[in-house]
Amino acid sequence: MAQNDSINSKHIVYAEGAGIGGYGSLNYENVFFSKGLFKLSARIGVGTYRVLDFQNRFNPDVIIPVALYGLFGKTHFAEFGFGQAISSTVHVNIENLQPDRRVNIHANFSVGYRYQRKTGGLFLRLSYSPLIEYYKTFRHWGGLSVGYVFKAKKK
Amino acid sequence: MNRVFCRKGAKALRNTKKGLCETLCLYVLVVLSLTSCQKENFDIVNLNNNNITALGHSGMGVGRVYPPDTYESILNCLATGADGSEMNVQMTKDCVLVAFHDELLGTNTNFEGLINSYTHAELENVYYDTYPYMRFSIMTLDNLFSKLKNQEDYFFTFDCKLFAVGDRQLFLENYANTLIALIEKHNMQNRMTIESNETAFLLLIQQKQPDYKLFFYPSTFAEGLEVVQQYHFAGITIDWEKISREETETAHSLGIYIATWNTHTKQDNINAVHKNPDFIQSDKIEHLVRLLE
Repeated sequence: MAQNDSINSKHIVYAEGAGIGGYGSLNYENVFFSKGLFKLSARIGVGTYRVLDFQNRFNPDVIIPVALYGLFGKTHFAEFGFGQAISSTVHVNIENLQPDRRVNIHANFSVGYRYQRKTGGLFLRLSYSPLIEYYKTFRHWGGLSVGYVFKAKKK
Repeated sequence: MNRVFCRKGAKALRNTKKGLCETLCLYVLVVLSLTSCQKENFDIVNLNNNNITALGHSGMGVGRVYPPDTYESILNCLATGADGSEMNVQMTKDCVLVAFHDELLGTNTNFEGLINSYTHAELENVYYDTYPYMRFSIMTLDNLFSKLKNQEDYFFTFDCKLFAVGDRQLFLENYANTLIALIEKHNMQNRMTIESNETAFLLLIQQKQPDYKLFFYPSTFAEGLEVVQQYHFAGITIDWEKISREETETAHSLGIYIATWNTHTKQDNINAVHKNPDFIQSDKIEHLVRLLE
């Protein structure tokens, strides 16, 4: 396939501190398109703030960041991206003081640098990733990711 | 012959490994049992029937996901088994008491200015925005005490933050009346203390309700002792590092209660307990509860 001929290492797993997962997240990213110096990738992750709610019962806050990235480079990449985060967080319902789960969607953008070798191995990423929380409120934000790029099998 | 030596060697190696494993397991067990059995012994002598009341500092304290003084923080604190919580109390323009620490809303919410410059209805649009994707609203004291189950089982300290603009005397008068009305409505007279660093405000409350337990909040123990003795307040609220065990004993010998705060770590809790106060407002409330069990 001419348009997709040089994807050597397409699976990436990484942990991100801060970033679009909120305070931190574990992520899987798939490089699904590659041509010359340009690549496209998609990411999904999961993050949390608390696993127990304010009543100390198992009732975790869950943040699911998803994003699409365009990458330009060979080993050192410039990265641009956008995506959404779904948050499902537990708060107090002030009518009865009981746990109340609220689900919301937020937008995010990203521009940054990443280190990602063709042959796999260490993955590093530093990004400025502002959030548009509840599609209303802008927040300056950023993240630092460390992970592993899986080496592609030789055909 | 060589095969026999090899077999013997392998067996000896297996035995050595087995022995090493057993020794290691034993060592781990001993260390675990020693550390789990370490229990602090306290000889608590105070004015509070020789018990220390364990209070959360604005709920779960600072540095948590739940911002201090929010519903989540206070309710989480009570769920840990604490005796109750301290909370910072401010009054809105239309005389509603809410919990909020800072002078200005802008430090950790989406609004600017003083609590006292907004009505309660306006504050319904305020939220803490410390962390992404998490919004927490401002807590109204009357709503908390009206809906809290087993409210009568808990103890609360009201740290009165008297930030306001305009006529000071009128503000203090309104604040005092509103606070007293709240306490009387929820029948909390014997399950609360009121603390402030403003003597005039405490005197105003004292004038209206002589039986309330009022705590002065000084910068030094000497200052606290002087003011409390002069005005016959119930106690002193002070940073645990600014008071010694001997000073606590001095206060107790004069019938003055001591409440400490600023215990951010487990060791701070232990050190504070050794000083024999009557109340501890802790940022590590889960640990303090376990410590005093």
